[in-house]
Amino acid sequence: MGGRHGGRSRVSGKEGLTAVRKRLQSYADRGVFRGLAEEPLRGSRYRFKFLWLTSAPFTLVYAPKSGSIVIRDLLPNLGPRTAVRKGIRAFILSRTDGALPEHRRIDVRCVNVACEVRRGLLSVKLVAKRRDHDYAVNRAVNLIHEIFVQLHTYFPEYMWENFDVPEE
Amino acid sequence: MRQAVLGSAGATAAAFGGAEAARAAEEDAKPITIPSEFEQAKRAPLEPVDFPMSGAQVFARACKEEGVEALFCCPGNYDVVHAIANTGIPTYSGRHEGSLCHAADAFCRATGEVAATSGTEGPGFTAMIGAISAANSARSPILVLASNKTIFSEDTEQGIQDQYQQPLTEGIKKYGKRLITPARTWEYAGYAFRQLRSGVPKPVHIDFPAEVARARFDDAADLEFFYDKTKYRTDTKPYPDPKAIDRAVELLRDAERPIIVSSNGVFYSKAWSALKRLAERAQIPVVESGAMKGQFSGAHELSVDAAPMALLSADVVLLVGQYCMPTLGEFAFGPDARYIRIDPDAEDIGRNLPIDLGIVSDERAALEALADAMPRQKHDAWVAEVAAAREAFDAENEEYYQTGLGYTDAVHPAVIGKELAEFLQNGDIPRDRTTIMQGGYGIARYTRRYLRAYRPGQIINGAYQYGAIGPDVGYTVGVAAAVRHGIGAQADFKGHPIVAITGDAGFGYTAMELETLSKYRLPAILVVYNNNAWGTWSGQRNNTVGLPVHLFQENLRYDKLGEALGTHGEYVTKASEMRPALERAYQVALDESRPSIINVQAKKEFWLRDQYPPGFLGKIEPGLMSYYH
Repeated sequence: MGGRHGGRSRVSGKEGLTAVRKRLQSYADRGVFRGLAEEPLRGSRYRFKFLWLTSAPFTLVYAPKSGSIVIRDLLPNLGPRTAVRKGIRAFILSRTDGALPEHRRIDVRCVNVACEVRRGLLSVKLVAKRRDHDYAVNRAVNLIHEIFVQLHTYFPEYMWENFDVPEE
Repeated sequence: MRQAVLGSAGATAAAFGGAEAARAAEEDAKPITIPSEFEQAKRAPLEPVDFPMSGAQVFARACKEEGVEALFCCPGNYDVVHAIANTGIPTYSGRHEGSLCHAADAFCRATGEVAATSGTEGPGFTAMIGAISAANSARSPILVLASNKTIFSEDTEQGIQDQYQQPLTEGIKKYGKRLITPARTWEYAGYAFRQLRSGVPKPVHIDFPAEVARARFDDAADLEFFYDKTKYRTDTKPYPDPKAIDRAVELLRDAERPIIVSSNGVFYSKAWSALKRLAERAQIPVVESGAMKGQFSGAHELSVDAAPMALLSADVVLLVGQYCMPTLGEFAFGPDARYIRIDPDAEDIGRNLPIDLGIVSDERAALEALADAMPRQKHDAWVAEVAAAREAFDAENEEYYQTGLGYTDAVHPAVIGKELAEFLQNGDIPRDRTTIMQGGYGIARYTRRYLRAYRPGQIINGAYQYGAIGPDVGYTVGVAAAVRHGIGAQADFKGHPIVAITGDAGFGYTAMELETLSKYRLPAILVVYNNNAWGTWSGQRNNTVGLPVHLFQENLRYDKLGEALGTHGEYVTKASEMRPALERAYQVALDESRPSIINVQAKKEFWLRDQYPPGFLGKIEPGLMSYYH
């Protein structure tokens, strides 16, 4: 996690992109992601798509200048006032709790985390502070994993209905 | 129908007189008895199995010499079944070949030893297909035997039940053979046991045309390859590459939060002592997965079985004997975890879960080598994290129990789980004594949370991998037989009552095996979670037209069904009745060696989270809640 709490100087766009790219590529090289693709977007942003926990690819959009990482449309069909929507939002925000072990926590000194639901689609945003882009992308990938474990544990029906997980 | 015939006045009269008439009829009825032939069979002397022998006797002698510990069958394949029974191998017959094949599977899972199962040609054999599939998914070393008419009449459809069997077990066995040359019967027994006794176990299927089963051999010269098993197979095991052990030591030594996943292979290689030695030497927590639980005690401070949320923190995962491999995401380990896999089958290493290191080895040999090579280490912070996760899990379960007690119109599954654990594992009965057949679907998602495995073979994971919900009463027969005879991992618990858990949907498939439990006086206590529905109903609750597909009649008296088949019966409709019912059933098991059924009346709506939180529960694997892998 090079650069974590790394002083006041900001990382350059190129350095940030290199760090994020390297981190994601390491997951692909280790076989965690079954495939990884990258494409540039307007506004000096980059879209990474990777196959991992589900049959549909995950989409992560990185903006080097702002240090923002958006996991776009991570979860579908989160209707208003549903228990799963409420539960997952609360879970995401709880990941910064200081009582969590350091390796499970999102350190707010390094990264801000937020989530939003639009038309039932949940997206998660992490914004790296200063030099913590590598840390931020690592936390983003771990957060996706933790969210899915949470869904398997407490919202099995949601997983059957939206991710073809066996009902049995 | 009776009412329609009598008319309303008659119906009223029948209702008044009916109860008394029924009572009188019950008093007049002859009691359920076990035929005296059962006792005679127990006392009958066993003749030595020697030349001259039939083909069936040759094969039976191989089974005896190879240590087959039990046979589960229905009538059919008579020559082979009788020849095996006559060797003294305990033989159980039941009501459906599929159920008895499930019994053989569960027997293997409880003992770690080989069991045989048999059915007649045609329908008897095809009735076993689902059970062979379940055993194949669970990696159980069952020996599937079936008769198969004659080679002479092959393809003619002369008589009945003509069929090619081997193609039907394609993909659900390790090895199969239709025996066609009588003189090679012993040789093919060797083929079967080489497969059953080595590597990753799976079913072996042998079918016997009459020309083979009834062939006559006057002496050894009539048989090919008739020699001792030490000449046709070896008990030696593959040992790990020392360089691979060095690399594994490096990975584990450098880890901050290492974890060991102990699965089927640890059980079948009897590697639990080596596992404990490694875990304690390097202070590495252990979590279990697989078709049976208890290789590592749930009471050990290093057990992660009941600490699911700690799994996500592991940074190096040592998978030992994990034959049924999850894909990424099916186990809760995080994306930064690295994996070492120990498996006797090189061809499987690297399947599904990417590895950082693969070690081809017998599980016990590899764990012993690692335990010898690992430096002593301390992971106190990691162990404290596991302890905190365990505490949180226990608190969550207690909350579910308290919530369940508040639902007073039926018995909530959390109450069943907690009461079972309190009675069997936290009361007067030593906690490691009772072997548990953990079946069911929705109910299992609760009971798994409360019950623990404290020694090898204590919990049999019913629906493991194949996901069949119907085998549970069949499994109960196999587990009860294993404990009765004290075979393999059950040696120290011989003769004690066992407990099985199932749901009303699963119960329906194999319920007639209550009679099998009763006729053999197997002291099993079967808890049936009766919520009047298939577990699938809640997903269809808004489907008005289709919903009845998922429903049964309500308040069915499965306890009465048990009583009619010779078991003791209990009907539990309130939480407070659960413990006394368990105590009575346990006493019946002790005093009469008789099975019981405890029909626990629940309701389907308990699966609705918005009405009855916590509703239908999900799961995390590996650990207590796991059953897919």
